[in-house]
Amino acid sequence: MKVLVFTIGPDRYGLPLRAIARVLPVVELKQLPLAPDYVAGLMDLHGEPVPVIDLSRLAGVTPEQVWFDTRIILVDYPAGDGGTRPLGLQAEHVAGIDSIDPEALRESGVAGAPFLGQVAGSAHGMLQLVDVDALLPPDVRALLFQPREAA
Amino acid sequence: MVSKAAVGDLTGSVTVTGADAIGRLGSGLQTMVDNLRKLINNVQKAGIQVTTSATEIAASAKEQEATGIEQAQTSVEILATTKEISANTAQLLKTMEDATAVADYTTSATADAQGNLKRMDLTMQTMVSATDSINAKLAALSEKASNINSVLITITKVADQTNILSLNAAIEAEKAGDAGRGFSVVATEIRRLADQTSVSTWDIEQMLKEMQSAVSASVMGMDKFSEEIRRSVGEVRQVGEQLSSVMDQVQKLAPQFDLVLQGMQSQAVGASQISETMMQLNDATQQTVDSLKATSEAVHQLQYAASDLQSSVATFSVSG
Repeated sequence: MKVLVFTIGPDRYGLPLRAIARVLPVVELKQLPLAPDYVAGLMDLHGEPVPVIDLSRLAGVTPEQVWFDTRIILVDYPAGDGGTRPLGLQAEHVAGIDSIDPEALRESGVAGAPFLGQVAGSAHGMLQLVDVDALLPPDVRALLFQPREAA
Repeated sequence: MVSKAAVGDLTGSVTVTGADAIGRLGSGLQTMVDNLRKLINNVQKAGIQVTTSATEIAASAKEQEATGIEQAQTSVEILATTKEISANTAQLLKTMEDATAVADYTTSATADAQGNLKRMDLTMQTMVSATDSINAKLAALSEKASNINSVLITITKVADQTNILSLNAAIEAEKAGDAGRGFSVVATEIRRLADQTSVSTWDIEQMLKEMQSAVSASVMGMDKFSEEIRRSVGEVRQVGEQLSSVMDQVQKLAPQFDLVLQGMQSQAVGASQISETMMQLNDATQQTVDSLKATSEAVHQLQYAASDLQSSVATFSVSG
């Protein structure tokens, strides 16, 4: 399987390509006051407001700065109502695509953050998969994705 | 009485008187003896007078001779002094000539120095203009560097966009499944190229930054250098002016030296004239002394003659 590799702090993480809609450069975000600190803000995607989550902050690491290879990864997030909604994930050092042998994937065996999945060794070192569906706690999901009728 | 008179005693008187021939002879004789006595008396007085006068003349001549000798000695002394003056004047003349030579040398040396300073001034002005042109070139270089920088920014942007494009291409290829496999390889290749471009532009950017800081350091250095040159130009001009005034002063010295030289030359001439005159005067004094000696001799002879006369006359007895 192929994953998009990025880092949180010093460690490498992978997002399966299947889960990704597009990769975008970092853009100016509209801040969302009173939202959790890992909610980076709202981005304008061709006129549609899309919430952006900072993956580093979500994992409890404060990013030093916006790097030249800091990207916004656009994914189709299950909104809970059966459909999907676009969600931006701001990630540091989006290095590129890496191939992982599914045979090599192992459970981490450690109960960390709920969105962190299996680990695998690759040519460039150990890498942990990120489960997009489990990224947001239900309350935050509810906060960010109001039912369409209510909006 | 006649026999007494014959041996010189004229004191006696003729006692014979009468109207006869004997008496007249006697009175005649008496008159003759009287006259003779008067004459001898006068001669005796005159002899004394002559002796006295001759003695006086001799004394006066001696005195004159002494004066003459003294004069001669004085003129010899004056001559020596005049010679000394002449010698001193000659020495002074030489010294003055040396001083004039020194002044001349100073004038020419100062003129040379001034010429050198002018050349230095020209060189410095050339340096100033060279510095200006270097500064202009550095400014052009700086501008070119910022142009390169803006091009680099564009290239970096393009590389960045290419990178994102390649990621998206890979995602699309993955979604296409087996059909997208070939496209995935192309996307990877594109991303590799974009990354290489990014790395290269970053390197270029660093080099450019170094170059720009070197250029600005050079500009600052050149500015300081030109400032120093300008100050040096000012100083050189000042030195030049000072040299000019020195030259003026030294040139003023030359005519004064000439005046002193002329004065000394005329003094030397005067001294030699005095010397000559003193020599002539000395000759004259010598002649005077010689003639005074002759006069003395003559006076001595006169004294001898007078005393002969006196002793001759003394044989006559007239008083009584």
